[in-house]
Amino acid sequence: MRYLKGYSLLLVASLVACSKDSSTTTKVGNWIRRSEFEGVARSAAASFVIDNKAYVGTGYDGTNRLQDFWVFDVDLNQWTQKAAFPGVGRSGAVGMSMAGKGYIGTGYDGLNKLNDFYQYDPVANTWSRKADFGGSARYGAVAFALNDKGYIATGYDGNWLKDNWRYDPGANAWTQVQSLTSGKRQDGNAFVINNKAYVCMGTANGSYVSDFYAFDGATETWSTLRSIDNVTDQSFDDNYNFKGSGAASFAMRGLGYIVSGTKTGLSSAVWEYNPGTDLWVQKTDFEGAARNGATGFTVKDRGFVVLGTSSSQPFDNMFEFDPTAAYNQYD
Amino acid sequence: MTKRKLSWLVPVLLLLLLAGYRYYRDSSQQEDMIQLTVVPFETGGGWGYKVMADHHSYIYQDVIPGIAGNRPFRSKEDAAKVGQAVVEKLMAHQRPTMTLTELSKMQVAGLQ
Repeated sequence: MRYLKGYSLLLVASLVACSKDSSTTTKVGNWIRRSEFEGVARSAAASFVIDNKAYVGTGYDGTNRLQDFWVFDVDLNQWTQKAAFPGVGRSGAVGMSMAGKGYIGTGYDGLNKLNDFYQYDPVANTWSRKADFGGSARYGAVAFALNDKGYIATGYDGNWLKDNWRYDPGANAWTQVQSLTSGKRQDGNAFVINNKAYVCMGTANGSYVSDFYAFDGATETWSTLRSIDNVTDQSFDDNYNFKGSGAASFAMRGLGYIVSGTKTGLSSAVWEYNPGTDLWVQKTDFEGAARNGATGFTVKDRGFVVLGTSSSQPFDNMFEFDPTAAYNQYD
Repeated sequence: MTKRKLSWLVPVLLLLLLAGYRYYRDSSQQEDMIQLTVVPFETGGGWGYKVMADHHSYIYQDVIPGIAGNRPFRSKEDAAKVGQAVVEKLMAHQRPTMTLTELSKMQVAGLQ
């Protein structure tokens, strides 16, 4: 009996030693607290999509204005660091893609408003400087591409702006085209549906802008749409409460989306625009924490929101928005 | 219950408690901690690295980061040490961006 007792104690001791040993070997690598994992986090980045990959770069990390440039593969949910943006580090720049090349220009380096403009070749992974933006140096503009021509409109150059410029990549030249009817703004949003660019949101003179316009790529003219605030006596806009700035936007399956951003405070609201009816409906709230200066894009007709900040916390996480699925808080 | 049975029960109970505690600790650690590891891999006549976060390739670097062109690392050692530098940045709550200056200082081959 005494032998048995002694033996079993020995057994326990050796098992403890063993398990201690194996747990040391599984601790290869480094551990970081999930909430402290910031990754490539930033706000006010510029982005464009080419060949089902989202390219995201520049932006502001709370201390520095950035030059680094990454491509995000939505299928594999992974980042690859590409050739650094050759201009000065900046926030509030704009990006768009035309004919298989990406473009980033304008923005703010912390001291100066900028008007330089660069082309990215995703095959060669190289940048080249192109003709400076034709309008005044500015930040917080919107950009979009229609018929493989790029447009930069609105923004802030010391004043709030409503002008609109076309870039022709073949001629490497800028031409001023029709300005927005009114609705000067900075930090607005643009999304493109069926060769029309829709411009809404943003601020001017310290208040949120409620004017909403569409720009037709065929005629190069603006048309005024219904305001995005509750400004009529009719009932369709009674619930419209999403004017604000720093939202993320994208278009998918013929509809436009405005996600999160700053209203009176940070908002996680999602609103969907139907160009057929010129009406907005509110969708399921954004699942991530409400954020400002996030980047929205569409890949393979799927909408994504990445990066952004909430007060001082920069986010790394990525969210896909499925407008038709039933809400599942556990996915 | 006999004394003989009791003498077996004590170590068995101890073992169960220990196993339970370890399971609890490991699962809670996995919930709020991310494990970062570097995995070098061969690519297009050279080397790249993956930074794995919780067994998922968070960064997939098949070209030297931050420099123009599509050049992989010339050696596994270069890929591994740059990947390690990226992990150290993430651990220090910095962006995982590598600059040409940093790569030159680390004497990475094939930058030019």
